[in-house]
Amino acid sequence: MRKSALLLAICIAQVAVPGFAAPRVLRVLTHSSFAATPSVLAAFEAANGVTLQFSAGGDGGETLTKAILSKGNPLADVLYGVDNTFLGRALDADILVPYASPALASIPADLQTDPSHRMLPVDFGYIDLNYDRKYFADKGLAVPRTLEDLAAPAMKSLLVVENPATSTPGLAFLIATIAHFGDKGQATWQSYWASLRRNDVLVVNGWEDAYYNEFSEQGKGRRPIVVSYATSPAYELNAAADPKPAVPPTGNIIPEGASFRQIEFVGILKGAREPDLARKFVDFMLSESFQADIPMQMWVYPSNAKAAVPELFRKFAPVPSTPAAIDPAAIEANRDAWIKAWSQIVLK
Amino acid sequence: MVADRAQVRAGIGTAAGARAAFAAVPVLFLVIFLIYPLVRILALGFGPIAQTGLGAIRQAAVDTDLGRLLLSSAGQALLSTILTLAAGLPVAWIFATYRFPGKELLRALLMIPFVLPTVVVGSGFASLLGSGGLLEKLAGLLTGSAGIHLSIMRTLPAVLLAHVFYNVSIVVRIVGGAWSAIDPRLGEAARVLGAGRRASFFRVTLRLLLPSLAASAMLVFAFCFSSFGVILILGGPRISTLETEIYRQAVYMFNLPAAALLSVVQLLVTAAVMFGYSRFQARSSTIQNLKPQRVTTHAPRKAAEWLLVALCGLIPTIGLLVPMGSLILGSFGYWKNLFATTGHSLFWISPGLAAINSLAFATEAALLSLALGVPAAYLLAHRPSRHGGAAGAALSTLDVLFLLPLGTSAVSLGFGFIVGFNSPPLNFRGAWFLIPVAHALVALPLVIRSLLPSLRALNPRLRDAASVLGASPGRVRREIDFPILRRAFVSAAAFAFTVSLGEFGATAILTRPELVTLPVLIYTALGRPGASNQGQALALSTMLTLACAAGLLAIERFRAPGPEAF
Repeated sequence: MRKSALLLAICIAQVAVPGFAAPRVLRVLTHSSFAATPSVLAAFEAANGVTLQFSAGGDGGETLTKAILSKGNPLADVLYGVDNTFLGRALDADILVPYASPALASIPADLQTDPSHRMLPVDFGYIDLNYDRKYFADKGLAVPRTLEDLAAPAMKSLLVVENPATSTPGLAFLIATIAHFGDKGQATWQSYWASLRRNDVLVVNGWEDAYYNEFSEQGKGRRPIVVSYATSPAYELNAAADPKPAVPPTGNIIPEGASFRQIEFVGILKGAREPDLARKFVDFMLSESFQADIPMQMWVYPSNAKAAVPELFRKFAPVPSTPAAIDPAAIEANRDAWIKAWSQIVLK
Repeated sequence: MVADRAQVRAGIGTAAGARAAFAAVPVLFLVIFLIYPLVRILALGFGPIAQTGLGAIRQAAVDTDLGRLLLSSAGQALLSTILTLAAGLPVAWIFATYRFPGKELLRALLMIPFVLPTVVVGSGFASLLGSGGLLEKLAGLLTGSAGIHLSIMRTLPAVLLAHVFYNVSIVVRIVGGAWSAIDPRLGEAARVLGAGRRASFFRVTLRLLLPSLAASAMLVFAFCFSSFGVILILGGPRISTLETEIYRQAVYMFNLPAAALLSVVQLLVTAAVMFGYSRFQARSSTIQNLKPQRVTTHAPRKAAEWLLVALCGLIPTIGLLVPMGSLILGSFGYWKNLFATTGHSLFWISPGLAAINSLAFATEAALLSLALGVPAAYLLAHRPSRHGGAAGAALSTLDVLFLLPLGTSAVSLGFGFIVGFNSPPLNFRGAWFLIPVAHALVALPLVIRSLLPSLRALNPRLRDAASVLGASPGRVRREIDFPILRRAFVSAAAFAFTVSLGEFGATAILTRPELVTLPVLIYTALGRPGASNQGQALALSTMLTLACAAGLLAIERFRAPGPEAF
């Protein structure tokens, strides 16, 4: 009732004031974890005489599905939040137009995984293992350093992972093990997961469930190692009550060559109503002012090499020297088969 | 009796044509907002199948392990239904038989699970059933040994418990409502004529309760068969339903043909169950002299009765309060942060505003689903036997049609809205009214099912007498139907209100930042890492619980004009 009255009032107002120029609106479809400081966005709005209209599309996969389904008459002008596990699908669906933003000059080439410039890298982060410092100190256990360590008898029943069929961190970790072990020779990724299963790995469907219900550091759970983000310890320190501890309550385990780098991309949707503004917004997202806002807002690294990274990140969210090396095209081609094989090994 | 009723009806001239026109509105509503978007998304999924033939369908069935999936979904739903009936019937019985302090509060309390997001309930259950949870501590105390690992999280029992938790109010409302309107003199007459307590229950009471039992069992089955959040969170990776598989196939695999196939299978299975139910319902309904609760209920008289009431009342209260209590306790310390103006994400609006949005949508959805459900229920209440032939078949079809939202995959429908309302004249994407419309769609089967058993049992002679005495059809509805059916109307409104308040899936797809509701805000809080966000989600859920309880108590207190409170 309230809303229909409001709607009616708006209609009347528009009829009554002919020539009333509405400000231009740029629609941005993002995943639900998108965050930015309001004043940073307001500066873009003021400079370009535009109102930004964000809509949250759920997680990365859901957001992309919505964008693909609304092909032709898209839900938005700009799409943000597709990551490199979904990049292949976004490109195959042919929903984006290329835009070689001048801002790409400040972005390292290895982040620019789409040579057609339809998807431009905005930020990146790493999926690795977090461990509960107190648990390992109390038990006098050595913290595992490698993927192989996790299959050792001392680590029995200590690890919780996410289902790669329903969770991005879960899929990222599976891909990291595939990149590390491969499927040839004596130790394959399949045999590795079979050994994790023998070591009583716990699988849950989502990161929230793993982190808040099963990870021991969060109070309730009893598993001291969890597949999570490399920035989670820094986040925990930042969120800790004052007086803050000197180090975060959790630590990172970054296995050599086996932490997955997740890159998130932005692109302009085909059929955008405001293509000029969309290009300006992409430039803005890659510019230093927006990029410097990224770490403390979204807890990932900015792609622009010139953007400042806070001290907290440098201390507690290290960038792995050798991340897992895997080709996005290989991910798109094999994702379903990998997940199926993984389910057979770990769940059945 | 049938003959003279027909004569009176013909006499007062409530033309069948007018009734059909009346019913056309809900049908049209379903065609536009359910059938059309569904057809559009299924067509997209089956497009490739049309090109490649049956091989693609076989491939999709193999991809999803269809046979096993179907069996496990149906088995799980059947078990859930049996357990929910077992848990709900004792409560329905005390509601129907006794007046006791706190009755209205308990009735409202029982519905609160309906609005609680599964993520939050999952976390409540985890602290109860999970590792280091209450259950383990209790077992440790009883056996005197520490280190007992009793976690039933991510197992079938956890799913069954959650389904009982969520759905018990359906049984209490629908069966309890019908039970409390049964004329107690029928049972007394049987006893006078020599029937024992048991015989009088089985031959009289249970017989009269069958339609409402069937209605609630069917609803619970349909909900559990297409269960989504509970399965994902409490079932873990080893348990799935068709609905969770549809989501996985559509979103993670982008296998639209497989998702479309599963949606159709789910729809067919639920439609088959509904068809069987609809036939049974029409046959088993009996006209009764429905009685006001003033007549049918009494305060417990003996100590044993008080004990029974306390037992039947306390067990569900504990079952509800333990998970909910852990939620409220967990939210302490996060309230201040909740109302802070800085440090929140872009999709954060003030919780107060979200609560207002939620309540406004819930009210709109309740009004809309009543406006659609009441004419639909009136139409269906006229039993096919009296129409026979084509008219009867048409009514049966309509009956199943009005139940279809229950069997429809919410995931498919959500995506159907995106594809279907994409271009003129149905260019509704982004329109605010899609939110209450979607909520009303979900609530409609519940609204119709809570009205129908009573509507069918209503003795038409009361209305006929009123008509003969000169009352207009509108006046008959106002002064005969409504007071007698008040409890059913209140239940229908309560169902619609709570369904809307707790709805997440459709709202998340349709919402805009300024239209955010409390459940969507809860997921926004959960979407970011950190214990403080988790705590805020619990605080928001507590808010949602309070808003729901307040709304339900307001609906409960709603009285029909006049002294006759049913």
